[in-house]
Amino acid sequence: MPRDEIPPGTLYMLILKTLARGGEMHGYEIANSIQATSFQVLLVEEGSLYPALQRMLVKGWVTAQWGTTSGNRRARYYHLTAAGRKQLNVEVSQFERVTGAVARVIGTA
Amino acid sequence: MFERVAEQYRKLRALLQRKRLHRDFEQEVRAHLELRAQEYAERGAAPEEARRLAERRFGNRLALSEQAGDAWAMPRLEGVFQDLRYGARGLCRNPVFSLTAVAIIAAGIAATSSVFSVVDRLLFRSLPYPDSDRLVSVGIIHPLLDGEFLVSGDYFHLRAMETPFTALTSWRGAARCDLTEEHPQILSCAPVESTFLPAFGIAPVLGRNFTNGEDQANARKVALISYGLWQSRFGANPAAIGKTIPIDGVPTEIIGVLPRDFELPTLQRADLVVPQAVPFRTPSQGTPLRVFGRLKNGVTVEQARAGLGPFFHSAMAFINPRERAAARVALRSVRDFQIQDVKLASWVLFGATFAILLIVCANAANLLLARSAARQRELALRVALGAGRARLVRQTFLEALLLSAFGAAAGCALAALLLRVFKLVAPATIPRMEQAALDGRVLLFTVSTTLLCGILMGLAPAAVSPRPEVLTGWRASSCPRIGVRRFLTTAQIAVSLILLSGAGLLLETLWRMQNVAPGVNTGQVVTADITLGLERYPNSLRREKFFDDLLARLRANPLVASAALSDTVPPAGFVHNRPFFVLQVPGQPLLERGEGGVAAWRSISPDYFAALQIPILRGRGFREEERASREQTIVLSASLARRLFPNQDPIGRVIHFRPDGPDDTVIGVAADVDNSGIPGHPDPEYYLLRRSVTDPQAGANVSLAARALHVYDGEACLTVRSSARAGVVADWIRTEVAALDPTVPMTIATMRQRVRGMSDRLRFNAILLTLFALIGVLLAASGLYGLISFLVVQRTGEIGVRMALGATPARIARLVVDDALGWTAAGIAIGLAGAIVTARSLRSILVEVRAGNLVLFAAAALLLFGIALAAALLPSLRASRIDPIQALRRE
Repeated sequence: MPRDEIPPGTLYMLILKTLARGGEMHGYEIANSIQATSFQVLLVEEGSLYPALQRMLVKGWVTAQWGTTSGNRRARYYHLTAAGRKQLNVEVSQFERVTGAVARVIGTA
Repeated sequence: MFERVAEQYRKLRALLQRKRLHRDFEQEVRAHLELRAQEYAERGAAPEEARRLAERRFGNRLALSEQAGDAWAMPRLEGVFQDLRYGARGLCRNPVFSLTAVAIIAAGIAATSSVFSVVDRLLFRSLPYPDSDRLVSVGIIHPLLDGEFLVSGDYFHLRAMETPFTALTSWRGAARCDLTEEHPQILSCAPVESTFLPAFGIAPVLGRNFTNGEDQANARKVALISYGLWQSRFGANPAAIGKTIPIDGVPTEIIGVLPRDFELPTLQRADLVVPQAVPFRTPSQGTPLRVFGRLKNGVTVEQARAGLGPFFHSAMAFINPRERAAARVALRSVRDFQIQDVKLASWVLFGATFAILLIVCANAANLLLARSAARQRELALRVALGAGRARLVRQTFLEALLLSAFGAAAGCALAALLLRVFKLVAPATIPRMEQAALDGRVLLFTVSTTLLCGILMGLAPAAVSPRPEVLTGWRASSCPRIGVRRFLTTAQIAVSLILLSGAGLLLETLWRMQNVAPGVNTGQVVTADITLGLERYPNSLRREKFFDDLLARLRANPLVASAALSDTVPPAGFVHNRPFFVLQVPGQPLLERGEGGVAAWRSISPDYFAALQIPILRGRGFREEERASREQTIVLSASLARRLFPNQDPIGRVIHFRPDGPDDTVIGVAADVDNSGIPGHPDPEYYLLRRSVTDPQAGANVSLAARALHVYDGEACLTVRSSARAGVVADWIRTEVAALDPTVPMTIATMRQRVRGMSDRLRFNAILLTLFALIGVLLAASGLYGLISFLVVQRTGEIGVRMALGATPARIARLVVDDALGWTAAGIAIGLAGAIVTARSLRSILVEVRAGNLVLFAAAALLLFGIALAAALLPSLRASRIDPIQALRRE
């Protein structure tokens, strides 16, 4: 099955949206969730997922806490903050504006 | 904006838990890999293969971890930390340099902080009254009394006027009073107007203030007691309110307790605050009152002074027109009123500490410069490797600040110690000394001086940038910073000279004060102030008998040379006086009312002149048998005799006390005694015989009453001259007094202590300033020594060449010394100019010393020059012993 890289600049938005939908999740779950909800189209490059999460921690969009998985493993769970929710709205509306514009350009061609 | 701050805060917190952050990240990634491997394994891969697949899907872990770390990075702050670590390591590598610098800075900061903790209370901190900067003291300054006052009639006039004050009040100054109970106690009473406490914004912690109705002469006596008295005498029992205690034999009801921090505007002790009951008078009449007002909002002191101009003009009416030139109007803040004569001294000390701080900074900067010169290669290397100028400057500043921080820590400890020493040596007359402490304000001051010091220190080395050419050249010398270092050394010498000459002036004043003959022989005299309470000694006869018995008992001791009684003793403290115009010599023109200043007087027993060894210049002193006679005799001081009887023999002449006093016959002239508090400037004085007052009611004492203005004869000062040790004599006095009446309170001091008390404050200033001057000179000398040693090391090669070309060691030594002395001379010239300016501003606290004392300045300059020469000599000798072969080989 062909898999596409995530378009540049949308990783934050995808993580934020995933967390907004699924509540608390650890990194592995986030990666899998993005893959699953995009019907296996979007492949998260795991190497960039974790640094992105660190930057989001710095920005205060998410908080992290250690917990245990259903399989009884230790994992770090991420949680959306109010600032993160606000950021999600900003990014989504920006993304929609851009894709809308792109779609119009392609449509007229 | 807020988000950015929050982000920085999160980063800052992360900075402190770097390790945890890193560990979390590692564990997180490992957990992810394991989960992924498990997923592959569940799909059927072998465990090894599953792990490999998971790793491959994840990507480069190492680069990843670095990226994650970057998210948290604070490059600037971390750069500072790095520089700090680097600086600290550098300082540790060079412990002699670091310790010297820290010690120098510590000395400077200790001196400034400890002195600041003392002067802060005097000059800057707010007084314990609400809105204290609006409180002013109002009055007229005239030689009659110390400090400004208004006569009561004028005060009532002022009250009735439209004034720039929201409140106006008066009091009469603290006076001693006695609690005449079973355990008698000498107390300090403050007679005040009923408006006094409200005007100052003071509310009693218990009970109430007295009313205007209670502030009348015939009212029932009431009093507020101090917090301390309430604690000590009444065990802090609220039931003390309403109790009646005998004050000077008069039953007085306690109606209130003053707050713990209560303070009189004169800073005198007050155990009791009582109504002053000053009767209404018409203007220009009445008793002197100390007047305080609270300025209306927005009114400045100058505006109030101008607005009250007409009033002040009328308030001077009681002074004789010819004397009015000596009178001044005073309207000043309570703070200025309180520290009147210490104000200048405080500023002098404060200035001196800043001078020390400057020297310290200059010295430390010099050390840093020397170090940076030695590190030129290192710095140049760093520049060559790409370090920016800003980075190097920051590095230099951080090092300076690091040194200052360590210096400040050591300095604080030293300051606490110094403050203890101050408190030990400080005289009781320096106001608020006991309150001085190293608290938050002082620490804040210390921190800011430390920063200032660090910046000043860092400035010099940072100003000179290292040049990469140093690396290519074959020696690192002749850099511009030598100029900076010479300048700094010159400045140090100049400032030390100012300090040295200032200290010299104070010391000379002190020396003069102690060596001006006070007119009395202070050796081997012990004094005791004795008070007899009215309750146990209700009449004059009982009081006289007590004193007669006491003198007889003391004289029975074969080791007591003489024992005398008087109402007061010179030189310090209180002395009775009368306006000069009341003394009239028949046949001479009358002085006008208020003209001529005042004459001091004492009532003495016949032995007084013998006990204090005051020579009788003409005629004779009083005789014992005269005490019973009705003959009125008087002894004049030499200056009074000269003034009343210029070029005439006063013996046998008569002095009339106006308007209806007695006629006293002059029987003798005694030598002048220092009685004014200013050595060498005795006020005119006369002596009356302390004699038996047979029956006050019958009027037999009219003459004494007229002359003595109702001086209470139960208070006296006993003076005992004996060859025995002072402690032993004091014990004799205590024993004899106790044998007569164990309840009599008294204060014992040697005459010498009393005289010393006069110059205590000056001594304190002189000691401090001398200390500062010594520190300054020492630092300047070490700075000069350091500079010249450094120059010698730098010029080793040049000296080697000179020697190889035939210069003698003596010439080499002179070369070095000449250079040093040139800079010293420049410093001394600048310092002398500064010293003359300083001396001018010091004029008012220098007694008998001309401010432009050239001999003293020359001596200070010479001393400094000598010290500089010594400091220069050592390195120059080293220079003259340089082996040319070695020196040239080193290059």
